[in-house]
Amino acid sequence: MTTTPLLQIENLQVEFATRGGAVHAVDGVNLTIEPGQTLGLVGESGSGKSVTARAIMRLVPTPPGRYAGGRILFEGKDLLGLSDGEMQSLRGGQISMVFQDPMTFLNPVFTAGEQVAEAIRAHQGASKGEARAKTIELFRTVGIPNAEERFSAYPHELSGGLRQRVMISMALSSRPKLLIADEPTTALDVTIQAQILDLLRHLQDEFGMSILLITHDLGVVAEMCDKVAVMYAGQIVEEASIEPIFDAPAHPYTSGLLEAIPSTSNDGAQFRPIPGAPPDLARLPQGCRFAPRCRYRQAICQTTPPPRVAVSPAHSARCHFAGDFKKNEPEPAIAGRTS
Amino acid sequence: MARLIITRLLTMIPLMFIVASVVFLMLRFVPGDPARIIVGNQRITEENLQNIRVQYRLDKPVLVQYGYWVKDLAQGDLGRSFRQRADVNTLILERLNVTAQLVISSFLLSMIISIPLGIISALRRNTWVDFSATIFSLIGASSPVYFTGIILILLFSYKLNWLPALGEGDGGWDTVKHLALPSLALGFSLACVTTRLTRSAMIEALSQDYIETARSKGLSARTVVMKHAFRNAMIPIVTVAGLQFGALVVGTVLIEYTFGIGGLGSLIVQAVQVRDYPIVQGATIFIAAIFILVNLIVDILYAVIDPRIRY
Ligand SMILES: Nc1ncnc2c1ncn2[C@@H]1O[C@H](COP(=O)(O)OP(=O)(O)OP(=O)(O)O)[C@@H](O)[C@H]1O
Ligand SMILES: [Mg+2]
Repeated sequence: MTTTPLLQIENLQVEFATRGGAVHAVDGVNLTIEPGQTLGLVGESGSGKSVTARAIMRLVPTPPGRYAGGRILFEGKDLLGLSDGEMQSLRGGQISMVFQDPMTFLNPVFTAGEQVAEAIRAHQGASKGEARAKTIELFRTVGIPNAEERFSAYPHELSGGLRQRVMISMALSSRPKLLIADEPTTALDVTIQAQILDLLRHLQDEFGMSILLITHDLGVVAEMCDKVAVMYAGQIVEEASIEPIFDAPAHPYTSGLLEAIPSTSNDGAQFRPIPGAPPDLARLPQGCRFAPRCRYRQAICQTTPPPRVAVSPAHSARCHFAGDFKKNEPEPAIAGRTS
Repeated sequence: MARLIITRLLTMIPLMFIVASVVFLMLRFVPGDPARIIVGNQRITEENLQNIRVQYRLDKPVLVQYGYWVKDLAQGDLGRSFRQRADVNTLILERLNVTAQLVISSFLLSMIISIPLGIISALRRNTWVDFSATIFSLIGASSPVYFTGIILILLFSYKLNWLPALGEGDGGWDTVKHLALPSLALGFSLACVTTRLTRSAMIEALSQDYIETARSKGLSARTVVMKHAFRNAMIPIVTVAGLQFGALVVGTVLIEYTFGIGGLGSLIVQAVQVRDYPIVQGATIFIAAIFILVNLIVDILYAVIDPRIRY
C-alpha cells in the first residue's frame, strides 16, 4: 500500500497538570487509519481513549492539558501545527465527532434542527432556508421519522435513540472524511445500540468515511471494525486486524479483556475480570505498565518498559513476551492479592 | 403561556388587596392621633380637630374606616393625602416618573457593566482581569448604596464639578445629568452581585458537554461562548435580575434621600414621618403591583429562554 493514510498519529503525548503532578494521559500513542477503514479503540476506563480522540479534534482543554509531543497527521498535515482558524474549519468539516451521551451533548435550549443547521451554515455558507432543507434531508438519511416536525423538537422531547441520530446527522452534515465516535452507544438501550451501530455501518458505506470507534465492548469491535488498537494506561499495547486479535491475542492485557467478556458460548464459566486497577498516571510503574496486574509477568517486566514487538507485519504488541506470554507460568496468587 | 399570564394577573388583584389591608391595619395600630398630625404645629380648637376627624372619617371605628377604604379602593381611589391637598393617585403618578427613570437606568447600567465583566472573568479565570473583577465586586457588595452615593458626589460634584449632586433636573438632558450619579451608585451595587453570578453561571455553562459539541462542529469561539454558553447562563441571571429589580425599588428610597430626588421613595419616607396614612397605603399597593409584575415577567422569560419550562 503506497497511499498516504488518512490519519497517522505518531508518538502522541498529552499531559494534564494536576496537583499530584503531570498526568500522562496519552503517552506515545501511534495509530494509523486508512481511508474508508474503521479502527476500533478499546481499553478500560481512564486509559486515555477520549483524550486521544479530543487531541485529534484539538479539543483537549489547555490548560490543564498540554500537547507534550508527537504529531497528528491528517492527510499528511500535522494538526498540532495548524492555526486555530484552520483547525476550526476542519472540525465538523473534514473531521467530526459523535459523543457518548446524546442528552448532555446536545444543547438543551436549542432545537435539534437548529443545532444541525448551525453546523451546515458554519461550513457550507448556506442560507437559513437551505440549511433547514439540508438538515431535514439529513434527518431522513439517518432514519429520523417525521423529519420535518423533528426539526423544531428540543432535545428533551426526543428519545435517546433519536437524539443520537441527531448527533450523527450533525457530525455527517459536511461529509467528513473521518468520523470519531466516542462510545456512541454506551448511553443507549441494547436494542437501540444495535440500530445505531447498523446506521453507522450503513452510513459509512454511503459516505465512504473512515471511523475511529471508541468502545469498551469487544463484541462491537468484532462486528464493526477492520482493525483494533488496545489502549492501556496511555499507551497502545496491541494493534492488529480483527481475526488475529480475537484468535491469538499477543498481549496478556488483550487476552484478559477477551476473557472478561461474559459470553454465552463459553458458558460463563471462563468469565474472569482482570484483577486490580490501572496504575496512577502520575506515578507510573518503572517497567511494563501492566506488570502489576499481569499473571504472566517475569522479572524483566518489572524493571524494563517493553518495546513494541511485531508478531506479524500487521500485528504488534508492547510486551516482552509478545505472542508467547502464555509459555510463562501464570501466577494464580495475583488475583487474590491485588483485588 | 397565555394561561399563566391571565391567572397571574387575576391572582394579582386579591394579592395586592391583602398586602394593602395588612398595611392599612398595621398603620391604625401606630400610636398618635392622625388628626393632630394633619394640622401640624398650628394651634387649633378641639372643635376644629373633631371636624377634621369627621372629614377624614377618623372618628369611626377601625373596621368602618376599613370598609370605606375598601369601597374607594374598588373604584381605583386611593384616597386623599392627609397633609398635601391632593389625591394619592395624583401624588404617586407625579413622583413615579422620576423613580421609574432612576430604577430603569440603574438596572440597565448594572447589566451593561456586570454581564460583560462576568463573561470576561469566566473566560479569563484566575488572571488579573478576574481578580480585579472580584475585588470590584467585593467593594461594591460591602459598601451601602448611600455610601457609594456620597463618594460619587464628593468625587464628581465637589471635586471635579462634572455633574450635579442634588435634585432630579427639569427634563431632557438636565434630568440625564442629575440621574447619572444616583443611577451609577445603585447600578454599581447591583452590578457586583450580577458580575459574580454571571461569572459562575458562565463557568458552569462552559463546562457542560454541549459546549464540546459546539466546538466540535467548528463554530467560532465567539459563537460557542455567546450563543451556546450564554443562553444557558441566562437562566440564573434572569432569576437574580428579577430579585434585584425588586430590591431596586427599595434601594431608590435610600438613594433618593441621599441625592434629594423627589421620587416615590422620598414621598414614602416623608409620608411615614408625618403619618400620612393614605400615601403609605397607596404607595405600598403600587410597589406590590410592581413586584408581582416583575415576577411575572421573570417567569415568562424563563419559558422563553429554557424550552424545558412550560406552563
Ligand atoms: N481535563 C482533564 N484534566 C485532568 N485530567 C484529565 C482531564 N481529562 C482527562 N484526564 C485524565 O486523562 C486520563 C484518561 O482519560 P480519558 O477520558 O481519555 O479516559 P477514557 O479511556 O476515555 O475512559 P472512559 O472509558 O471512562 O471514557 C484519565 O486518567 C483522566 O484523569
Ligand atoms: Mg472516554
